[in-house]
Amino acid sequence: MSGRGLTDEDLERYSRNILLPQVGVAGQKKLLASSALVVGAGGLGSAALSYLAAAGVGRIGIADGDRVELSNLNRQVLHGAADVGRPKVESAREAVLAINPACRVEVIGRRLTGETVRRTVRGWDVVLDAADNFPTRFIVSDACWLEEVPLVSAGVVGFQGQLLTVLPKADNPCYRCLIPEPPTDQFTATCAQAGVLGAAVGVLGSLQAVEAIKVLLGIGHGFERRLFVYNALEGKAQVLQRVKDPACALCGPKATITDVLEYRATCCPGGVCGPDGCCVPAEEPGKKRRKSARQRGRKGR
Amino acid sequence: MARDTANTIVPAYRADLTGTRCPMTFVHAKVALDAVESGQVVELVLLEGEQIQDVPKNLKEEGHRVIGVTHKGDRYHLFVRKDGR
Repeated sequence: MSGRGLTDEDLERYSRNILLPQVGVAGQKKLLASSALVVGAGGLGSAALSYLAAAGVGRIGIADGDRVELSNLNRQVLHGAADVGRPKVESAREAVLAINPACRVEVIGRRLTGETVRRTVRGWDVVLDAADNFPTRFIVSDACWLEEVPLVSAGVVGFQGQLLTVLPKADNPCYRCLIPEPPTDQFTATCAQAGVLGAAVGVLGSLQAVEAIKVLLGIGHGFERRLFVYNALEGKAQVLQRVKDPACALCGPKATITDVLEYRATCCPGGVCGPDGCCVPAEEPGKKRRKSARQRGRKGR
Repeated sequence: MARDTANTIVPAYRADLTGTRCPMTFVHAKVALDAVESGQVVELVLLEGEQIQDVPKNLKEEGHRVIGVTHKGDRYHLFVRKDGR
Protein backbone atom coordinates (compact mmCIF):
# COMPACT_ATOMS: atom_id res chain seq x y z
CA MET A 1 0.00 0.00 0.00
CA SER A 2 1.30 3.48 -0.65
CA GLY A 3 0.11 7.05 -0.47
CA ARG A 4 -0.66 8.64 -3.78
CA GLY A 5 2.70 9.88 -5.04
CA LEU A 6 4.69 8.15 -2.27
CA THR A 7 6.26 4.73 -2.72
CA ASP A 8 6.47 2.16 0.06
CA GLU A 9 10.16 3.03 0.33
CA ASP A 10 9.25 6.72 0.70
CA LEU A 11 6.80 5.88 3.45
CA GLU A 12 9.42 3.98 5.36
CA ARG A 13 12.25 6.46 4.76
CA TYR A 14 10.15 9.45 5.77
CA SER A 15 8.00 7.66 8.37
CA ARG A 16 9.37 9.75 11.26
CA ASN A 17 8.46 12.94 9.39
CA ILE A 18 5.02 11.65 8.41
CA LEU A 19 4.23 10.65 11.98
CA LEU A 20 4.52 14.28 13.06
CA PRO A 21 1.01 15.77 12.97
CA GLN A 22 2.43 19.03 11.59
CA VAL A 23 4.04 17.21 8.66
CA GLY A 24 1.94 14.17 7.80
CA VAL A 25 1.56 12.71 4.33
CA ALA A 26 0.65 16.05 2.77
CA GLY A 27 3.66 17.79 4.32
CA GLN A 28 6.04 15.09 3.14
CA LYS A 29 4.71 15.40 -0.40
CA LYS A 30 5.25 19.14 -0.13
CA LEU A 31 8.88 18.66 0.95
CA LEU A 32 9.51 16.26 -1.92
CA ALA A 33 8.18 18.90 -4.31
CA SER A 34 10.19 21.72 -2.66
CA SER A 35 13.53 23.28 -3.47
CA ALA A 36 16.27 24.78 -1.30
CA LEU A 37 19.47 26.53 -2.33
CA VAL A 38 22.35 26.43 0.16
CA VAL A 39 24.95 29.13 -0.38
CA GLY A 40 28.16 27.77 1.11
CA ALA A 41 29.11 24.11 1.42
CA GLY A 42 31.20 24.71 4.53
CA GLY A 43 30.40 24.07 8.17
CA LEU A 44 26.89 25.51 8.21
CA GLY A 45 26.14 24.07 4.78
CA SER A 46 27.37 20.62 5.79
CA ALA A 47 24.81 20.32 8.57
CA ALA A 48 22.04 22.08 6.68
CA LEU A 49 22.49 20.09 3.48
CA SER A 50 22.58 16.79 5.36
CA TYR A 51 19.27 17.42 7.09
CA LEU A 52 17.55 18.93 4.06
CA ALA A 53 18.49 15.85 2.03
CA ALA A 54 17.49 13.49 4.82
CA ALA A 55 14.14 15.26 5.21
CA GLY A 56 13.39 14.67 1.55
CA VAL A 57 13.62 18.17 0.10
CA GLY A 58 13.34 17.21 -3.55
CA ARG A 59 15.62 19.71 -5.24
CA ILE A 60 18.76 20.94 -3.54
CA GLY A 61 21.16 23.57 -4.84
CA ILE A 62 24.72 23.92 -3.57
CA ALA A 63 26.71 27.08 -4.35
CA ASP A 64 30.36 27.31 -3.41
CA GLY A 65 33.46 28.29 -5.35
CA ASP A 66 36.04 26.87 -2.95
CA ARG A 67 37.99 23.65 -2.77
CA VAL A 68 38.19 21.48 0.34
CA GLU A 69 41.15 22.31 2.57
CA LEU A 70 42.49 20.23 5.42
CA SER A 71 41.71 23.05 7.85
CA ASN A 72 38.02 22.83 6.88
CA LEU A 73 37.60 19.36 8.27
CA ASN A 74 37.07 20.32 11.92
CA ARG A 75 33.59 21.50 10.98
CA GLN A 76 32.75 20.78 7.34
CA VAL A 77 31.54 17.25 7.91
CA LEU A 78 30.17 16.67 4.41
CA HIS A 79 33.78 16.51 3.24
CA GLY A 80 36.33 13.89 4.21
CA ALA A 81 40.11 13.63 4.22
CA ALA A 82 40.05 12.12 0.72
CA ASP A 83 38.23 15.20 -0.58
CA VAL A 84 41.01 17.69 0.20
CA GLY A 85 41.73 19.64 -2.98
CA ARG A 86 38.40 18.78 -4.64
CA PRO A 87 35.73 21.40 -5.36
CA LYS A 88 33.43 21.53 -2.35
CA VAL A 89 30.35 21.36 -4.53
CA GLU A 90 31.51 18.01 -5.91
CA SER A 91 32.18 16.32 -2.59
CA ALA A 92 29.03 17.91 -1.14
CA ARG A 93 26.96 16.60 -4.04
CA GLU A 94 28.29 13.08 -3.48
CA ALA A 95 27.63 13.26 0.25
CA VAL A 96 24.09 14.55 -0.24
CA LEU A 97 23.31 11.81 -2.75
CA ALA A 98 24.78 9.21 -0.39
CA ILE A 99 22.27 10.37 2.24
CA ASN A 100 19.36 10.49 -0.17
CA PRO A 101 19.82 9.31 -3.77
CA ALA A 102 16.36 10.60 -4.66
CA CYS A 103 17.40 14.26 -4.28
CA ARG A 104 17.93 16.30 -7.42
CA VAL A 105 21.18 18.14 -6.74
CA GLU A 106 22.26 21.19 -8.73
CA VAL A 107 25.67 22.71 -8.12
CA ILE A 108 27.07 26.15 -8.74
CA GLY A 109 30.82 25.80 -8.41
CA ARG A 110 31.78 29.44 -8.40
CA ARG A 111 31.55 32.33 -6.02
CA LEU A 112 28.31 34.26 -6.40
CA THR A 113 28.64 37.79 -7.73
CA GLY A 114 26.39 40.83 -7.64
CA GLU A 115 25.90 40.45 -11.35
CA THR A 116 24.53 36.90 -11.29
CA VAL A 117 23.13 36.43 -7.79
CA ARG A 118 19.53 37.49 -8.56
CA ARG A 119 19.32 34.95 -11.33
CA THR A 120 20.87 32.31 -9.05
CA VAL A 121 18.38 32.70 -6.19
CA ARG A 122 15.34 33.17 -8.43
CA GLY A 123 12.80 30.37 -8.34
CA TRP A 124 14.03 28.55 -5.21
CA ASP A 125 11.47 28.00 -2.47
CA VAL A 126 14.01 28.94 0.21
CA VAL A 127 17.65 30.02 0.30
CA LEU A 128 20.02 29.24 3.16
CA ASP A 129 22.84 31.71 3.65
CA ALA A 130 25.63 29.49 4.92
CA ALA A 131 28.39 31.75 3.61
CA ASP A 132 31.51 32.67 5.54
CA ASN A 133 31.85 36.29 4.48
CA PHE A 134 29.82 39.47 4.55
CA PRO A 135 30.04 40.40 0.86
CA THR A 136 28.32 37.13 -0.07
CA ARG A 137 25.81 37.46 2.77
CA PHE A 138 24.81 40.93 1.58
CA ILE A 139 24.44 40.10 -2.09
CA VAL A 140 22.45 36.97 -1.25
CA SER A 141 20.17 38.73 1.23
CA ASP A 142 19.60 41.66 -1.16
CA ALA A 143 18.88 39.28 -4.03
CA CYS A 144 16.47 37.21 -1.95
CA TRP A 145 14.53 40.30 -0.87
CA LEU A 146 14.37 41.68 -4.42
CA GLU A 147 13.38 38.29 -5.87
CA GLU A 148 10.96 37.61 -2.98
CA VAL A 149 12.64 34.37 -1.93
CA PRO A 150 12.60 33.42 1.79
CA LEU A 151 16.05 33.44 3.39
CA VAL A 152 17.43 31.66 6.45
CA SER A 153 20.76 33.20 7.40
CA ALA A 154 23.21 31.99 10.02
CA GLY A 155 26.77 32.71 11.05
CA VAL A 156 29.20 31.41 13.64
CA VAL A 157 32.46 32.84 14.91
CA GLY A 158 34.32 31.26 17.76
CA PHE A 159 31.76 29.74 20.07
CA GLN A 160 28.99 32.18 19.16
CA GLY A 161 26.38 31.87 16.47
CA GLN A 162 23.28 33.65 15.33
CA LEU A 163 20.39 32.93 13.02
CA LEU A 164 17.51 34.82 11.49
CA THR A 165 14.89 34.31 8.82
CA VAL A 166 13.77 36.89 6.28
CA LEU A 167 10.34 36.40 4.78
CA PRO A 168 10.15 38.97 1.99
CA LYS A 169 6.83 40.60 2.83
CA ALA A 170 6.38 44.34 3.24
CA ASP A 171 5.81 44.27 7.01
CA ASN A 172 8.76 42.03 7.83
CA PRO A 173 12.27 43.24 8.61
CA CYS A 174 15.03 42.33 6.16
CA TYR A 175 18.65 41.46 6.88
CA ARG A 176 19.70 45.10 6.41
CA CYS A 177 17.24 46.24 9.08
CA LEU A 178 19.61 44.49 11.51
CA ILE A 179 22.93 45.14 9.75
CA PRO A 180 22.51 48.06 7.31
CA GLU A 181 25.92 47.77 5.66
CA PRO A 182 28.69 45.17 5.54
CA PRO A 183 30.77 45.77 8.67
CA THR A 184 34.26 47.08 8.22
CA ASP A 185 37.26 44.96 8.97
CA GLN A 186 37.78 46.34 12.46
CA PHE A 187 34.46 44.80 13.53
CA THR A 188 34.58 41.54 11.69
CA ALA A 189 36.49 38.33 11.49
CA THR A 190 35.73 35.69 8.94
CA CYS A 191 36.01 32.01 9.75
CA ALA A 192 39.40 32.11 8.09
CA GLN A 193 40.56 34.70 10.58
CA ALA A 194 39.14 33.27 13.74
CA GLY A 195 38.86 29.92 15.43
CA VAL A 196 35.50 28.25 15.37
CA LEU A 197 34.15 25.22 17.18
CA GLY A 198 32.95 22.80 14.54
CA ALA A 199 30.16 21.34 16.65
CA ALA A 200 28.79 24.85 17.35
CA VAL A 201 28.67 25.48 13.59
CA GLY A 202 26.77 22.21 13.29
CA VAL A 203 24.18 23.45 15.79
CA LEU A 204 23.47 26.56 13.72
CA GLY A 205 23.55 24.66 10.41
CA SER A 206 21.05 22.17 11.79
CA LEU A 207 18.90 25.03 13.02
CA GLN A 208 19.00 26.53 9.52
CA ALA A 209 17.65 23.26 8.15
CA VAL A 210 14.91 23.23 10.80
CA GLU A 211 13.85 26.78 9.97
CA ALA A 212 14.02 26.18 6.21
CA ILE A 213 11.81 23.10 6.54
CA LYS A 214 9.33 25.14 8.62
CA VAL A 215 9.30 27.79 5.91
CA LEU A 216 8.73 25.17 3.21
CA LEU A 217 5.87 23.60 5.15
CA GLY A 218 4.44 26.86 6.51
CA ILE A 219 4.41 25.50 10.06
CA GLY A 220 5.41 26.73 13.48
CA HIS A 221 6.87 29.99 14.68
CA GLY A 222 9.92 31.20 12.75
CA PHE A 223 12.64 33.79 13.21
CA GLU A 224 11.30 36.34 10.72
CA ARG A 225 10.89 38.88 13.53
CA ARG A 226 13.43 37.48 15.91
CA LEU A 227 17.15 36.80 16.17
CA PHE A 228 18.50 33.60 17.69
CA VAL A 229 21.82 34.01 19.46
CA TYR A 230 23.72 30.99 20.78
CA ASN A 231 26.79 30.99 22.96
CA ALA A 232 28.16 27.47 23.01
CA LEU A 233 30.84 28.23 25.56
CA GLU A 234 28.48 29.71 28.12
CA GLY A 235 25.71 27.26 27.27
CA LYS A 236 23.29 30.11 26.66
CA ALA A 237 20.73 30.84 23.98
CA GLN A 238 18.83 34.09 23.59
CA VAL A 239 15.97 35.08 21.35
CA LEU A 240 15.85 38.81 20.62
CA GLN A 241 13.09 40.73 18.88
CA ARG A 242 13.86 42.25 15.48
CA VAL A 243 11.94 45.19 14.10
CA LYS A 244 11.66 46.75 10.68
CA ASP A 245 13.87 49.82 10.19
CA PRO A 246 11.74 52.56 8.62
CA ALA A 247 14.92 54.04 7.16
CA CYS A 248 16.14 50.73 5.69
CA ALA A 249 17.70 51.26 2.28
CA LEU A 250 16.45 47.89 1.02
CA CYS A 251 12.96 47.38 2.44
CA GLY A 252 11.96 50.79 3.86
CA PRO A 253 9.40 53.12 2.26
CA LYS A 254 12.22 55.19 0.79
CA ALA A 255 14.38 52.28 -0.31
CA THR A 256 17.33 53.27 -2.44
CA ILE A 257 18.61 49.79 -3.21
CA THR A 258 16.78 48.51 -6.26
CA ASP A 259 19.39 46.08 -7.51
CA VAL A 260 22.19 44.03 -6.00
CA LEU A 261 25.34 45.96 -5.26
CA GLU A 262 28.72 44.30 -5.47
CA TYR A 263 30.75 44.46 -2.29
CA ARG A 264 34.43 44.39 -1.95
CA ALA A 265 35.86 42.91 1.17
CA THR A 266 37.13 45.63 3.44
CA CYS A 267 39.71 43.62 5.32
CA CYS A 268 42.35 44.13 2.64
CA PRO A 269 41.95 47.57 1.09
CA GLY A 270 41.72 47.09 -2.63
CA GLY A 271 41.32 43.36 -2.18
CA VAL A 272 38.64 40.98 -3.28
CA CYS A 273 37.14 38.01 -1.51
CA GLY A 274 39.09 34.85 -2.02
CA PRO A 275 38.72 31.25 -0.88
CA ASP A 276 37.40 30.49 2.57
CA GLY A 277 36.25 34.04 3.20
CA CYS A 278 39.69 35.56 3.29
CA CYS A 279 40.75 38.36 1.01
CA VAL A 280 43.29 38.39 -1.73
CA PRO A 281 44.76 41.45 -3.34
CA ALA A 282 43.14 42.52 -6.56
CA GLU A 283 45.31 41.29 -9.39
CA GLU A 284 46.88 43.98 -11.47
CA PRO A 285 47.27 43.25 -15.15
CA GLY A 286 50.65 41.71 -15.89
CA LYS A 287 51.49 41.25 -12.22
CA LYS A 288 51.67 38.00 -10.35
CA ARG A 289 49.35 37.71 -7.37
CA ARG A 290 51.18 38.27 -4.09
CA LYS A 291 50.10 37.35 -0.64
CA SER A 292 48.93 40.21 1.52
CA ALA A 293 50.68 41.01 4.75
CA ARG A 294 47.67 39.61 6.60
CA GLN A 295 47.83 36.34 4.72
CA ARG A 296 51.58 36.03 5.20
CA GLY A 297 51.09 36.73 8.88
CA ARG A 298 48.54 33.94 9.15
CA LYS A 299 50.89 31.33 7.83
CA GLY A 300 51.37 28.49 10.26
CA ARG A 301 48.45 29.35 12.52
CA MET B 1 -24.08 1.55 19.15
CA ALA B 2 -20.75 1.60 17.34
CA ARG B 3 -21.67 -1.55 15.48
CA ASP B 4 -24.98 -0.09 14.30
CA THR B 5 -23.22 3.03 13.10
CA ALA B 6 -20.54 1.07 11.30
CA ASN B 7 -23.08 -1.14 9.53
CA THR B 8 -24.61 1.85 7.80
CA ILE B 9 -21.32 3.40 6.66
CA VAL B 10 -19.85 3.10 3.19
CA PRO B 11 -16.19 4.01 3.52
CA ALA B 12 -14.51 6.02 0.78
CA TYR B 13 -11.24 4.14 1.33
CA ARG B 14 -10.25 0.89 2.99
CA ALA B 15 -6.82 -0.17 4.26
CA ASP B 16 -5.74 -3.44 5.87
CA LEU B 17 -3.02 -2.57 8.36
CA THR B 18 -2.74 -6.03 9.91
CA GLY B 19 0.56 -6.75 8.15
CA THR B 20 2.27 -3.65 9.51
CA ARG B 21 4.18 -2.97 12.72
CA CYS B 22 4.39 0.08 14.91
CA PRO B 23 5.09 2.83 13.95
CA MET B 24 4.40 2.01 10.28
CA THR B 25 0.85 1.04 11.24
CA PHE B 26 0.09 4.66 12.01
CA VAL B 27 1.98 5.90 8.94
CA HIS B 28 -0.28 3.74 6.78
CA ALA B 29 -3.34 4.92 8.70
CA LYS B 30 -2.33 8.49 7.84
CA VAL B 31 -1.80 7.52 4.21
CA ALA B 32 -5.36 6.12 4.14
CA LEU B 33 -6.75 9.36 5.57
CA ASP B 34 -4.70 11.39 3.09
CA ALA B 35 -6.44 9.52 0.27
CA VAL B 36 -9.88 10.91 1.15
CA GLU B 37 -11.41 14.35 1.51
CA SER B 38 -12.22 15.98 4.81
CA GLY B 39 -15.47 14.52 6.18
CA GLN B 40 -15.16 11.24 4.30
CA VAL B 41 -14.80 7.91 6.09
CA VAL B 42 -11.98 5.37 5.89
CA GLU B 43 -12.16 1.79 7.10
CA LEU B 44 -9.00 0.47 8.77
CA VAL B 45 -8.51 -3.21 9.53
CA LEU B 46 -6.46 -3.66 12.70
CA LEU B 47 -5.27 -6.53 14.85
CA GLU B 48 -6.22 -7.11 18.45
CA GLY B 49 -3.62 -5.82 20.92
CA GLU B 50 -1.29 -2.91 20.28
CA GLN B 51 -2.88 -1.90 16.96
CA ILE B 52 -6.45 -1.53 18.22
CA GLN B 53 -5.23 0.00 21.49
CA ASP B 54 -3.06 2.69 19.92
CA VAL B 55 -4.42 3.62 16.50
CA PRO B 56 -7.85 4.99 17.54
CA LYS B 57 -6.26 7.03 20.33
CA ASN B 58 -3.64 8.49 17.98
CA LEU B 59 -6.21 9.29 15.29
CA LYS B 60 -8.32 11.19 17.82
CA GLU B 61 -5.26 13.18 18.89
CA GLU B 62 -4.83 14.28 15.26
CA GLY B 63 -8.41 15.52 15.05
CA HIS B 64 -10.13 12.59 13.36
CA ARG B 65 -13.22 10.88 14.75
CA VAL B 66 -13.74 7.18 15.23
CA ILE B 67 -17.38 6.67 14.33
CA GLY B 68 -17.61 2.91 14.54
CA VAL B 69 -15.85 -0.35 15.32
CA THR B 70 -16.72 -3.92 14.35
CA HIS B 71 -14.92 -6.97 15.63
CA LYS B 72 -14.52 -10.46 14.16
CA GLY B 73 -11.97 -12.87 15.63
CA ASP B 74 -8.72 -11.01 16.20
CA ARG B 75 -9.52 -8.36 13.60
CA TYR B 76 -11.12 -4.99 14.18
CA HIS B 77 -12.66 -2.79 11.51
CA LEU B 78 -12.32 0.84 12.52
CA PHE B 79 -14.39 3.50 10.77
CA VAL B 80 -12.79 6.94 10.93
CA ARG B 81 -14.20 10.25 9.72
CA LYS B 82 -11.42 12.52 8.47
CA ASP B 83 -11.01 15.70 10.52
CA GLY B 84 -13.99 14.68 12.63
CA ARG B 85 -16.45 16.59 10.47
